[in-house]
Amino acid sequence: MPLSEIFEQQREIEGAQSRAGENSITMLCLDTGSSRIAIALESAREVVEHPHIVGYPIAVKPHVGLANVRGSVVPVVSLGTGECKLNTMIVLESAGKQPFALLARDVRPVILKDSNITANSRSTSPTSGVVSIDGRPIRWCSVAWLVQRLFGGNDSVSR
Amino acid sequence: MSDSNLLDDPIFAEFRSEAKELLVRVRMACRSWDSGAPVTPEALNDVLRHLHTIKGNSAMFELSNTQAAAHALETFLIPFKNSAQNLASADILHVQTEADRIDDLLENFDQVPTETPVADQAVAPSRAEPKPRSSPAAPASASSIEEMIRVPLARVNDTLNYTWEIFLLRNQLSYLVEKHHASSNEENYEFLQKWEMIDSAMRRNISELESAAMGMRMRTVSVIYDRVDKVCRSYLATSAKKVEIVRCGENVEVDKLVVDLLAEPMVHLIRNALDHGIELPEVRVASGKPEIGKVSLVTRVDGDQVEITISDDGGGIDADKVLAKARACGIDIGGIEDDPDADVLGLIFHSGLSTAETITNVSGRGVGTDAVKTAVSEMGGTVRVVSELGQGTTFVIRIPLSVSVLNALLFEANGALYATSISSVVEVCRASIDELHILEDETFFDLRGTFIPCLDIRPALAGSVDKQNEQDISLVIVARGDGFVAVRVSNVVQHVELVLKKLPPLALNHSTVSGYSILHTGQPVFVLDLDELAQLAKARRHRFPREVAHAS
Repeated sequence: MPLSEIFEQQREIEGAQSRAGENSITMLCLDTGSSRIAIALESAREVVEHPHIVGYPIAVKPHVGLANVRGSVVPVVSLGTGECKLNTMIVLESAGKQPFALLARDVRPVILKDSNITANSRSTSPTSGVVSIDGRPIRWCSVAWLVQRLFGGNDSVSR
Repeated sequence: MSDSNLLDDPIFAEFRSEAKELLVRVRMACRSWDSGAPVTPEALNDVLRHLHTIKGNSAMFELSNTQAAAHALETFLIPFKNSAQNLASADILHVQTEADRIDDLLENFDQVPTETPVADQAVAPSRAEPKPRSSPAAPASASSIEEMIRVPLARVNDTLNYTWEIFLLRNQLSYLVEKHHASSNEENYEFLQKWEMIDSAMRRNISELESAAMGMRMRTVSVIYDRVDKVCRSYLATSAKKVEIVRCGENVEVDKLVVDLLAEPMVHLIRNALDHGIELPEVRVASGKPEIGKVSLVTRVDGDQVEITISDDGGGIDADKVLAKARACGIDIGGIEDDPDADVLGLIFHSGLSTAETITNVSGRGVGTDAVKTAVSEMGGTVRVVSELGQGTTFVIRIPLSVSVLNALLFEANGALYATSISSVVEVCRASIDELHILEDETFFDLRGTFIPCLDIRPALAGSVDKQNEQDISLVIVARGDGFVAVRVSNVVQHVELVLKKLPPLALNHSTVSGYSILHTGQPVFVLDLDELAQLAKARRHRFPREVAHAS
C-alpha cells in the first residue's frame, strides 16, 4: 500500500474519530475465517496484506508459520477452520510484549461509541463482548483474550 | 546489610563474581600441584593473596561465615610459606575442599545465618610425605603479563548480535546485487568485479569481527572440569567406592554458552558413572578388575566441533534391561528389538527411563539423561552412548565450537525449503530408485556395497509429497549411533552458513525444529533436526512406491 494511501486512511480515521467525540474507539473489524471479531486499532502494530509466510514443517493448529515483518520474524496463527483464503495479517503484541500475527481477511476500521468497549478492549486482561456492527453481532475482544484463545494464556508455547 | 539488599547491590555482584574467579585460580593452583608441579613460594603467595582478598571483601559485606572460612584456610597455609615444598597431597585436598566450601557459602550466602561466625577450625597440616615435584621454572617476567579489563557479558553479547545481523544483511545485499545486475554488459561487468572485491573484503572483516567477539566469550572447559571435580570429591567422601578421575583437554576453549549449557549434563553423566557405573571395590576385584575404578573425561577439538568423552570402566548398561524398562514405561520402541542395527542404548535418553536398581540421592530418577540430550541438541550437537556389559560405558558428546554461525545444508521437501546442521551429515547423493531395496517392510539404500536404512521424511512434513521425477532421488546420509541412515528429501539445494536463532516465544516448538534463520532473500527458514525427523518417519513406516525383491 503506498504511503500516501496510508496517510489518507489515517486522516480519514482521525477525522471520523474526532467527529464521533469522546467515548468512541476505532476498532479493526476482521474475518478470522471462523468468525468476525473486532479489536482495538491501537492494539494492532501493523496490518500486512498478502504476507509471505513460511509454514511450519509439522503444523499444529492454530500455528501456521513464521513471517518476516520488516526485519522482525513473528509467529503467525490462524483461527480459520475452512478453506477460505486469509490474505491479511494483523501483527499484535501480547501483554508480555511478545509479537504475533493473526491471519484474517476483509479487514476494515469501524468506530464504536460504547464506553464499556472503550474501557475494556484496551485491557490487559482477557475481556470480550458482543456488539452490533452493520446489523450483525460481532465479538469485540482484547488482545489478552485472543492470546488466551490461541495460546492458552501462555506467553510462550512449548511441546 | 540485609540479604535482599545485597542481591540488588551491583557492587556485591561484582565482589561475588571476583571471589569466584579467585577461587577458580586457587583450585587451578591446587590441580597443578597435585599433578606434580612445584609449589613455589610465589604460587603459594598468590593463593594466600586471593584468600586474603576474599576474606577482606567478605567482611565488607558482613559475610562472617565466608570471612571465617577464608581466614581459616589462610591460617592453614601460612606455615607453608617458608616450606612450600612440604605441601602434601592431603593438604592440597584440604585446600580444594575448603575452596569448594567457600564457593558454596558465597553461592548460598542468603541461606546461611550471617551473624554466627564459624569458629576457627585448627586443621593440622598433613604429616604425609610431600609429593616429589619437578624443579621450579623461572618466574614469568612482568612484560609477559597480559593486560585485561572486565567487560559485562551483555556488552560482549550485544557486539556479537550486531555482528550476526551485519552478516545476515550482507547476505541479503549480495543477493540483491547479483539479482539486479544479471545482464552481462561491460558496465555491469566492471561493477560486478568491484562488488566482488568489496564483498570479499566485507566477508573477511565480518568473519574477523565475529572471531574477535566470539573470542571474548571463549572459556576453557576447565570450568566444567572444576565442577565435576567438586561433585566427585563430594560423592567419594561418603562412598566406599574407590575411583580415579582422569582429565584431559581441560584447556580446550569453547563458547561461554556451551560451557554454561554443558556443565549440568556433564555433571549428571559423571554422577551416573560414579553411582551406577563403578562397582564397589570387592565387586571389582571379584570380577578381575582393579580395585580402583577409572572415570575419564576427555575433551578435544575435531574440525569445527568439540568432542567430549566421558567413560568409565564400570559394569556397563544392560541393553535387555533397557528394552524391558522401555516396554514397561510404555515408550514406543517400534520394532527396535528386531532391528540388529537399532540404537537400543539410545532409549536411555527417554525421559523417565532409568534402569537403576535403586534410586539414590545422587541419581536414578531417570530424569537426567533426557535433559542431557535436550541440552546437547539445543546447541546443535549430538550425544551417543556405547556400552559393554561388565566392561564399562562411554558417552560421546559432539557440539559445534561456535553455537552462532551454523554450517547448514539447504534442502527442499514438499515444495518448502528447510535447513539442517551439517554436523551429522556425512554425504549427499543423488541416486536412482533402483538403488533402493525393500526387505521385510524396511527400505535400504546400497551405499557402495553397504546396505543402510533409508527413511523418507517427506510424508512426515507439511505439504504434499512431490510425485514428479520419482526415478531420481536425493539422499542425505546422516551418521546415527554407530552407523548411517539415508534420509530422502525432494532436492538438496546448497551448503550455506546461517545464523541459528531461537524460535520466537509464541512460536510452535517441536522436537524436530532446532530453530530458524534468515536466508539471503530475507525469507525465514526452519532449521530441522534430521535425526529426529528420521525417527518420526520410521515410526510412521512409509514405503517407497517401487518394490524390488532383493536378498541382502
